[in-house]
Amino acid sequence: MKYRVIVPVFAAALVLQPFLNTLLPWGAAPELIVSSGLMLCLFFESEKVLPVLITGSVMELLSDMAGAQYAGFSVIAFVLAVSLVIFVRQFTNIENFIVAAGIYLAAILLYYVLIWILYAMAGSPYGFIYAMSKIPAAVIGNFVFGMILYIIFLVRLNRHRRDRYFR
Amino acid sequence: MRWIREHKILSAAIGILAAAVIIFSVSMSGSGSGGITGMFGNLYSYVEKHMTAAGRAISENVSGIFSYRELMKENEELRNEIDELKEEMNRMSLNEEELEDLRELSAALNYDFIGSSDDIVTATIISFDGLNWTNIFTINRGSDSGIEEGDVVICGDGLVGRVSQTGRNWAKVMSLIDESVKISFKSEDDTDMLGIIEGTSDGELSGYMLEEKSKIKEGSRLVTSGVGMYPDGIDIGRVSEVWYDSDTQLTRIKVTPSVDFMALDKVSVVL
Repeated sequence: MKYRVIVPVFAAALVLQPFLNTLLPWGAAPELIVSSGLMLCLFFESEKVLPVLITGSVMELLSDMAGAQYAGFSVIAFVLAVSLVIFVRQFTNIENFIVAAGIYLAAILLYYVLIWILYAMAGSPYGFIYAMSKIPAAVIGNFVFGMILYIIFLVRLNRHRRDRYFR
Repeated sequence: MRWIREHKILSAAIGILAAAVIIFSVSMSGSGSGGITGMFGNLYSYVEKHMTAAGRAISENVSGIFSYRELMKENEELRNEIDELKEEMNRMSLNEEELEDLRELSAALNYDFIGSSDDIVTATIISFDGLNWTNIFTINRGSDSGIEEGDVVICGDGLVGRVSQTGRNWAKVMSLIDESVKISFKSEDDTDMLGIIEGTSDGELSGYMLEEKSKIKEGSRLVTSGVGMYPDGIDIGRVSEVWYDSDTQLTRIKVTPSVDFMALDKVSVVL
């Protein structure tokens, strides 16, 4: 992955996020940067995802600075969720839909749990059960968006199977 | 160095995590709200404002298509209501004496924290923080309009919260549930009934009455008492549950906020 591709894609995601947040009801808007970051890390081998990790972290920091109460918590959650995907993908076959969906879903849930932990550390009064009861729509939104990306990447993977780009 | 070159991803992840932890700690301590955050906030609020407006416009139009019948019915009801109000308005006209009585009443209720229209700034919400369980949002007015950290935010339904950060043309608002700050209140029925409430872990407000055997009832309306950071007389919500806690010997209450935070669109900041 090259910075000249990743930076505009993630910048567009940062700009489009408030549009989606308002457009989709019940808080079902996917986290565009997180979802696309996780999917890219799921598909590309670990040596190639450094730009995804760095650019995604910078964009998450900017997103925190613009709209959230504290800066940096999304970056921590993003890096740890991405690290989970990079680690687990080494031992799995990501071309299997169920495996890929499972890893992706686990990473998304980890992201939200980490955000709740960091907010709780900062003094937010909300309990874990209450917070988690509010995220199903967001998880579904992220899942649908992630699976759309999965299908797009899988088509590309199959078309270029012999070029050793995806290993 | 060789280890870093051999483990680029791991090194980058550790480096970013360390930097993020420092930024998060600084941000929690509240000392990092200016500088780069302010500059980026000023720039991004322009983009955010337009993107949110576009999203809202599409969303409202799409939902309008699906609820056409309901809208027509609502329109008819509103027309009838307008007619009734017009008739009522014609019947009612305040004479000088009645107006003076109302002024006295206003002073007696001590609802004078809003001195003039210059003391209040109306703002539109340009974005929520994106987490479904919190009620933190950004408004399109900032220090240019005289808004400062700690200013009280209200809406037509009652108390919303306080301004937690400001930029030139934006301000972040934290709802009274998110703040986990104790709020002193009084009952609207009997202003001698005082108590304290705060946000709970399940997104509601709960607290206790200062009197041991308080006569507060379910459905009682609560307003701010004026003690502490919030001015007197702002609607907080209604008591949804009352019980006596024999361990602490206090009458405890649960309160449903009068404001639906997720449905907010416009708010007013009291300067």
